[in-house]
Amino acid sequence: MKKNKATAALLWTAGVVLLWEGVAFFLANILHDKMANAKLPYLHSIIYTIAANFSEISNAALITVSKAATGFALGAAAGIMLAVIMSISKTAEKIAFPYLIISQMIPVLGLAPIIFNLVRNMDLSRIIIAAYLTFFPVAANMLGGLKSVEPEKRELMYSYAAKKRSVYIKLMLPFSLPYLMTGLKIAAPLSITASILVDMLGSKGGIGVKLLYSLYGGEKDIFWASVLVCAAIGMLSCFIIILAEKILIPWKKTSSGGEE
Amino acid sequence: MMKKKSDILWPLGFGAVFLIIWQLYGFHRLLDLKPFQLPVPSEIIMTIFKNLEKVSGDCLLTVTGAIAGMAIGSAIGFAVAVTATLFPKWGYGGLTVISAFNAIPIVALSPIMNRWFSTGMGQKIGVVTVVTMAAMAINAYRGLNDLKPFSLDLMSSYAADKRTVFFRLRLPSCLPSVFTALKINITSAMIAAIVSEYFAASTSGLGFGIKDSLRKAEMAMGWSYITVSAIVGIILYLIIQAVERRAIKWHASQK
Amino acid sequence: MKSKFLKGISIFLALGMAALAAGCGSSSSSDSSESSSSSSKSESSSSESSSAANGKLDKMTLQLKWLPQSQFMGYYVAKVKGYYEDEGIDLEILPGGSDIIPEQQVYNGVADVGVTWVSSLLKYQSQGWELKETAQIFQKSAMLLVSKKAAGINTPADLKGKKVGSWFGGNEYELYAMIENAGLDREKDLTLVQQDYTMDQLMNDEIDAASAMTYNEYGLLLESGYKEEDLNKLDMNDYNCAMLEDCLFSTSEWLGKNKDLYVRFLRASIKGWQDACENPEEAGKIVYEADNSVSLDHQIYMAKEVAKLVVPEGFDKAKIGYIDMNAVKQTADYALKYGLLTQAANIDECVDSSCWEEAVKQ
Repeated sequence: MKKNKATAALLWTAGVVLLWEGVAFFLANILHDKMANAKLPYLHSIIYTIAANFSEISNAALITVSKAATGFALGAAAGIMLAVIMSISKTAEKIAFPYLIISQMIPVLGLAPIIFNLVRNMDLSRIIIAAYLTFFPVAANMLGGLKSVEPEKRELMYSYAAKKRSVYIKLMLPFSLPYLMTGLKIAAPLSITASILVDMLGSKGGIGVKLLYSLYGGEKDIFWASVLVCAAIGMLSCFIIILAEKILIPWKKTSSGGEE
Repeated sequence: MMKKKSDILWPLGFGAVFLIIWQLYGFHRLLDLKPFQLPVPSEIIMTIFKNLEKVSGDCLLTVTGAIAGMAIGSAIGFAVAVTATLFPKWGYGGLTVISAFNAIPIVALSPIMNRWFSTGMGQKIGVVTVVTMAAMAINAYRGLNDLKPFSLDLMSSYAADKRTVFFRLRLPSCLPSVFTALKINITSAMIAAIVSEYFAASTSGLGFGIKDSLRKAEMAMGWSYITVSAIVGIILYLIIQAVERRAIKWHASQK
Repeated sequence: MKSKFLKGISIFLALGMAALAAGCGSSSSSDSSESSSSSSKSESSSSESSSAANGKLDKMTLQLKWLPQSQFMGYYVAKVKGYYEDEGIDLEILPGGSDIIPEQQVYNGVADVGVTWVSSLLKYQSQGWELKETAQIFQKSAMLLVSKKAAGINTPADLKGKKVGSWFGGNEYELYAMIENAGLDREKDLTLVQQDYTMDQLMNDEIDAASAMTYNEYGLLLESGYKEEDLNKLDMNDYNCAMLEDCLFSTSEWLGKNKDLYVRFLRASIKGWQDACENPEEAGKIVYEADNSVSLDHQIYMAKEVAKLVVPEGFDKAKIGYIDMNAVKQTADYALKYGLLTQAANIDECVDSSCWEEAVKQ
């Protein structure tokens, strides 16, 4: 099993690399596109750039990741709390859920000046914006999970005279864990992109700053290196959640079945 | 019928109170804001009507791009999820690759797509496609694989082949997750379309309107665009929800 | 039924409170923002009082209009050389970006003073924002319309039927003036599209002519291999459509309370700008080291170009920051003519040069 997985991962990596290099070659040498190195430069040249500027880029990435972690923690906590409140009270759900959706429809870049005005502290504003961009998938998935508990199960618990609290702790929350994990899997890379976005709101360090400066400064190699690093961090964040999922809900494997 | 009414009344009541406080400068007093920093609802609505033609044209453009991109992105995401389910050994890697795309920030994607597509619409659809793939892939994969306990065993006890299992068991049971993904995607599609317009090679669309007005201190105009994008977003969301209600009446979440 | 109703009411109220605290549109979402915003306010006020108790340097923040680069070299030079410290100021320089609006940052109190374009400032003032221009750093417009020779755009009239890029968001009015001065209709005779702050659209032939600043984008074109002789440039200054760009501004309220501090800030800044214009190579290097992400060569190129704008030929460098009211008037006139302003600006109200006069006196 293990070996199979490793080969599959290897095959995928090789496939992606080949495809990338192929398209880059096609653009540069067959279409003779003048902008080939801006549209899609060779992967190896990007990796070379990353290696050549490693300490600079990794420092920037570290700053972004730490900010993302804070935003993610806050956003996930807010999302879980909201989901629980909404599942306890259908009225709350009716009131809040439409507004949660609306809140996601409001482009945060438009709101940024107002948030700055409220908070009057750029660092804190950035964390709040990052959390704001992160909480929705968590809340939506968690609520979906809580609502998917079959009523019979809940009624059974109540028929044993279980308190609402213990129904939640013993039944609802464990049941909705897989859903929560799905939400977190979406939210984790989102929190990274959110953190990159807020890097651009006048931060002094971070991979978003690198991205922005290199884009506007015409440094295409650094730009692409930053994009690649962003994607890598995002993937890494997803892996961390998957790992957490395996540790937290080991029973999931047996109930879902079929995938191995 | 009663239930339906309260579904609408509660949020509406809350919204009304919110708007009244806003209109009466409650937030301005509380947060020490000047009317020219945050326009009141009546001013926003009047601005929308004064510029109805322009705003609705911009809106149509953004929505078209968002929906087209979302359709393509969701289709790709679903295809990846199906592949990963049918060929679990090596298909799972596709999910990983697609979630890597999700980690590229829109602000970086937009200029890249600007180079690939010379029109604002192409760029917009490109950005939205990339942004919506992952949520669908991850959700659909979960739906296709988180089956009810013993349902697979039951199917195999009927000697059902892989095909039957897929169409009779996996596909129906993934519908709720697909709708969850669509609901997440419609919000992110609108946002992605709007943000991509911040950088797009065109001078129309809700995103351009928001950015241009807010920079130029035309707050009422900027908020008109923000309001319209929020309203359109929620309408699209409600449409998906209505379809969901019809499609999966049997699921616990709809009871 | 009744209890459900009560529960509903209480949640309603709770959400309402959260919304009031968050206050940002309809985002009644994050209760976290409520607690954190209030804590930040108390934090910042406590830090203010502690710095006042120490009583050595006055803290001050400057909001840039764009990314840290030689466009703002005077402030970096003054900071690095300790001119601000000599005047008893601890200056923090906040970088800008495409979604940072200096006028709002200053008005909101995130920063004390800011750098912006005069046309944009006039617009904010006309909307009721109590902001004042206090010094004019760039005496000339730096905006160009650049095209490849092959496009055959030698005069503004040649723009007819072309696809022309602008950054918009208030940066389009010089271009409008150029287009209409040439007798063209900007709606019908040509297509205006948004530029994404790179020159890629021009390089990729997606547009025929692109907006470029002499000190930044034009240099990027040269650095990426284009030769001066391959390019046509239309200079706003040559076609009598120049509007004033980088200036310093603050709120009337802050200026009223901190006049002395602001005079000291100006004095140190002018000294920094003088050094920078005399020795752009050094200034470029200082900026590069303050933030080493855009190449050193480009920073030095930019420093040299910016020096020409701050101290044009025949300009007395002791008068850096001088506000030429005629130029302000032309800026205001064009802003009105091309639709940025809806009514004529009272430019004497918009400008307060008293601090600058005091700063250059000694």
